[in-house]
Amino acid sequence: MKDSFNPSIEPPKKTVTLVSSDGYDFEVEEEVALESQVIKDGFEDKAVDDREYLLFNVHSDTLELIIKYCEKHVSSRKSISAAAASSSSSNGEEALKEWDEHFISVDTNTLYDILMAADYLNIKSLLDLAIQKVADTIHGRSPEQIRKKFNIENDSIIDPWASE
Amino acid sequence: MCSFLKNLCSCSHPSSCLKHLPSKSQTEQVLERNATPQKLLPDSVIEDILSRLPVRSLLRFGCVCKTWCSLLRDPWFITMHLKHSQAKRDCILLKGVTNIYLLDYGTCNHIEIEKLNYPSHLLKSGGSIDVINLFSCNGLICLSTDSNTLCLWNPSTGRQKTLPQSVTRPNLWMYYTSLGFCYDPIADDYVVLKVYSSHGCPSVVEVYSLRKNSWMRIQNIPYHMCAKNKGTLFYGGSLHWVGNRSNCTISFAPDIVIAFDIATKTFRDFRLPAYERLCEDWERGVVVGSPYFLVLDGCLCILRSHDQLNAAVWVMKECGVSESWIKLHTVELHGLALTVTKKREILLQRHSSITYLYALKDKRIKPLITQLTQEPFCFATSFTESLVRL
Repeated sequence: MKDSFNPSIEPPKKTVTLVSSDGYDFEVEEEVALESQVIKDGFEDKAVDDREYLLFNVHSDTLELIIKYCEKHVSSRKSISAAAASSSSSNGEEALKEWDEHFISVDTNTLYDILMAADYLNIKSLLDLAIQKVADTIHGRSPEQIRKKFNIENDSIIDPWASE
Repeated sequence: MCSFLKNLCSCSHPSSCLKHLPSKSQTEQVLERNATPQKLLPDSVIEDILSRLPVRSLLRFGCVCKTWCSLLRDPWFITMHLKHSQAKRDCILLKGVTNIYLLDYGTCNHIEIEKLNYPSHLLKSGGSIDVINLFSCNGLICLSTDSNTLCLWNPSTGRQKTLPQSVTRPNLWMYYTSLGFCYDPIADDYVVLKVYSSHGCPSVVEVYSLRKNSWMRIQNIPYHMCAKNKGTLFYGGSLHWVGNRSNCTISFAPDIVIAFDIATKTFRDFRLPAYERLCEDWERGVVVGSPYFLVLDGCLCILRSHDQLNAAVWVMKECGVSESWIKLHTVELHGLALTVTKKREILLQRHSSITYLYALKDKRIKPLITQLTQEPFCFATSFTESLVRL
């Protein structure tokens, strides 16, 4: 009966629930959640009515960003392949690259949170993006600044290039 | 790695965590760790970050801790770094009359040109150096000087190695040598080839292995490498030169491609496309006519100038099949082609001081460098910085 009101409406999309480390529920479309290789790997093993994932390494603030990234990438991929199918010109990939660049331009703590979450959830493109961003921000630093940043104790007494 | 990384627990196998409810204490631990996220980066992430840094930064970071120091010497890490370096940007080595420059034009609006210092032991008493030829592969440069010295050099790390003297003295009259330099992926070795060509005789070939640090003579070949070879190309497991069969006159324009198969250490040849008109200046030694190799869409191609104005790009549709050459582009260069970049652009020099990029795609030309250096460039080749050790 419901369908007869609007016959053109798509069937309701399947969703999964992601629970952040601080206990917030995020209901997202299945295909968005499957951007994470880890969720994808565990997906088949789960019962259909138990599509809830407890991400106890990801805080709700970070999870919100991660979901935003995955949603954008899923929708961009669709529009890029639609443009390719209709052979109309599209600068979708360029636009997505720009969006990514804007997305990852965040403060250091947020960047590390995203990096950790992308590693934990195994979202390869996001991990690549975050790692490249970290690399871009640290390449001009001094060894002492690097030790401080990564909390590394200075145990080095030799010059790596002194002896071959 | 560093102690903080060893403290990682659940992160290494997150999939197992997803299937179970974390106990309260686990959650608390997680929240506690999240307070200082920088301290928790897994080894793999740290290594990935480092593998994307310029060599200059890595040389500085080698002293951060012992683990990083040994990581920078790890062949696995050096390979990972090289892959990122190759994917990231295009650099070009430009050889002037006396100096050598590194041109980094990775992003369109940001062009850097830096003068490199040749290894000091190659300099003559007056501080000058006569580099005859240079080849680049995986961040290493093979240099030959007029005093017959061969040297491998990593300009990014500053390391260099002078090659030992060859074992054989070819019994040839008035010979000249041609070189080739490539990476042998099967033996994980760097290889230098030295070919002695002489009029009317088969050429003598010697192969140098960096691993063994020694030369070995292999079978003579019925070819002459072209004396004006503008660089070689490693493609499809073979190193390519242009040249002639050894029963031809050496000064004649090259008519074959000579390919050295790195796995079998054997040579084969196939014809170059026929010349539409042979350039008159060839005999007078003007640097036109000798082709450049390039790879477009996975096919071996050549760029060949007819004269100082025009050039053509030919593609060989079937590798090794002489009949499959097809002319792809005719281009009006009005200058000297120095090299062809990965982005299908011809680096072009006009009026000896201005260098242009000519895009093969839309035949558009844009100035790249204008009088940044005092000397005209005579040779260029692509270059990828690396940590590859000598």
